Amino acid sequence: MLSGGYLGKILRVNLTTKKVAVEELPEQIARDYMGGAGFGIKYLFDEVPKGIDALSAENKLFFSCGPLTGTSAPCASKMTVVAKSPLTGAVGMAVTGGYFPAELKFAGYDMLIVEGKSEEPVFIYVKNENVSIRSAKTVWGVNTFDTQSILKEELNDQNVRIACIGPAGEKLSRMACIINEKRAAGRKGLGAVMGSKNLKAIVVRGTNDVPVADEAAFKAAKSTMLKAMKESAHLYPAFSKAGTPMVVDVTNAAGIFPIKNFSATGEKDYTDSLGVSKNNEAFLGAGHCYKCPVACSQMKLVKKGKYAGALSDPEYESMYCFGGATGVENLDSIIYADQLCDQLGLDTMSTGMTIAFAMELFEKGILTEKDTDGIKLKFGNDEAMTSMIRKIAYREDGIGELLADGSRIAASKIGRGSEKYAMQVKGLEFPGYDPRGAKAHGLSYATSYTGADHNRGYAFQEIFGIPIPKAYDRFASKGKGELAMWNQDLRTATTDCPSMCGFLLDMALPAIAAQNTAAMVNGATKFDYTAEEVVKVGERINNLAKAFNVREGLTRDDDTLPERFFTEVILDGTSKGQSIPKEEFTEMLNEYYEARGWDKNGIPTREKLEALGLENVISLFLEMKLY
Amino acid sequence: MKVTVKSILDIKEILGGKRTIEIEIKNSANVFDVLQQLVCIYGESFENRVFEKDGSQKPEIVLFINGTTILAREGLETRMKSGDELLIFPPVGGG
Repeated sequence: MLSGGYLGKILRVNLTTKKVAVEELPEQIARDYMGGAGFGIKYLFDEVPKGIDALSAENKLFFSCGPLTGTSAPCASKMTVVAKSPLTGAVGMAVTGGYFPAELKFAGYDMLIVEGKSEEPVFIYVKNENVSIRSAKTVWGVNTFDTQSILKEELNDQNVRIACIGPAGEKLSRMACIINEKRAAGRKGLGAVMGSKNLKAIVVRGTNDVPVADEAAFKAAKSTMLKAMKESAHLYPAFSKAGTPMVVDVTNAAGIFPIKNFSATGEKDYTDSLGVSKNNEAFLGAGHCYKCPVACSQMKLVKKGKYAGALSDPEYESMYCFGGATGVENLDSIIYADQLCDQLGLDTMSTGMTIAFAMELFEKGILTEKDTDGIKLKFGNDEAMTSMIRKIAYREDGIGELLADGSRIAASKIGRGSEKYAMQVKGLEFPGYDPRGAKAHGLSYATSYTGADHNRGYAFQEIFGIPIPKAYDRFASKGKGELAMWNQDLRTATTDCPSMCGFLLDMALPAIAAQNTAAMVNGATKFDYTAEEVVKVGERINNLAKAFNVREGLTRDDDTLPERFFTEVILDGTSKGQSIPKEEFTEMLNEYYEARGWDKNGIPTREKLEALGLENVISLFLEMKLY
Repeated sequence: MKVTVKSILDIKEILGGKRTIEIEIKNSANVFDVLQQLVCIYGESFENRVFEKDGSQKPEIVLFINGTTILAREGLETRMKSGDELLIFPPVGGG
């Protein structure tokens, strides 16, 4: 019987039938999948039928917390949102922090499942055991910040927490995100899944505590974790003062900061224009997620000039995708672009990279001013960059409609050789690390179940030089298959499931992450995980997610990188001369499959699935005649 | 021979505020020799930032030669060649 950490309840809301049900969380699922991404992917695999349109009523949304969410564990502020992704057709999984996740636990639920489709715009209102589906007419068409303010007023409760979509989600942009407070479940177009269900928002108010099963064990584990955090030279003082934008300084020095849609990596150093010193000039204050003693969120205010009044907290990835990738060096315009995306409900990364893609096409003459509504969409043009965002969010006729579903779909409409300039894997646009200078990181982009996703297997060994489990030469390809797997499983198990902030893994806990997760979760739940079992949970989930993707028709050919990285070398900077020749990539991928116990086509073997207790996947693969 | 020393964030400030400097070192020099040379030039503030009191390198200081970590090579004993670039940076994470 579940005795702590978990509430043991799943809330299921059907928007077609308007039925609300509370189900029990099975203990075996809790033990095998831990929570967060694990629950979401397990239920996605079991409940969402094969081959559905991700924007149809048959898709489901899983808002899933971990056993530590809402407890007093430091930095356990997270929740994952899972659905079939309309952007990739694969598992769509995104993590958000802030305060909404803990509130869902306070209301008494480990997971909220939303299914079906409402005929009219609605929001779901959860106040402990009272759950209702209400009209969202007053906020349909309204941006995410105002939606939250208006619903609080309407409900006469300033303490509710709200996850909602903006106009981009309503317009079914496959780059739409879900915003709660100012945090986002950003990637894979999950906002469009909400929009397709006519679900504007989920409003939650909870007044219960999240009990822990073994107070003494939990307290002891927490104190070990806090000690590691306090002693971390990464977290304090640097990260707590500068946040993720400090990565601009590192990736520029290492020559892997992507420039001009990856066509000019290393050509220029953006540290003076977008690095820590420049960011500090606009610093207004720091923000926390629930129970976070670090406060890495850095609010920036543009005080003068054409973007005066823009107020946002752009992370490193926004610096990269609206900055280096578009060739823009104006930090003010990036703050504005970040704010606009949050308000309109767009993923900054896919949006920025889709604009960068269009800029490269414009530079090459594949797109002209006739296609861009007369806008000179050249690299470095900050006004052109920011003007695209609203057009995309509202699917404005012309360039807005063309780019609204991301670079892969845009390329398929444009043709004329444009496909090779779409920097994406499985349809998901690239994060801000050139894979030619960080090869395990690049292999993780190719093999992650979500597409080009830095957060599903961040290679901190290569990017930050952290020698755990050992030191790696970031340019070498040998051994990277095993490393990519290690990073993916550890990340899944120690951050995406419990659900914990991912930054702790590389900055405070890399050497003790699995033990720490075991101790914390055991204290909260009275489970008896060992460190090895924790990692095995991560492995199980990565295999199950892979099985979902296989079921949906993805193959080895989808585990790849854009052609540019195979054929073009980095021309300048510290990573000068680096590329990933196709043969080298093939060997890396083979090594990865072998490390995973998958066959040469990337299909998990029967032995591997048996060892992970995934008999249902064996049945599926037998049905699909893969064995 | 000449080598380039590149630094970022607070280490850059200690090394005179320039992102890149060139220094002259003996032909057989290794990474440790370069760091010692920098101590001679920039004094105590650099020494205290990079070395423990017992003279060992602080573990959180990251050192890359030509883009790769020295820990994947011979650590502080990694030999430098003319024109090599030594990148020194403080603990960084996130992203």
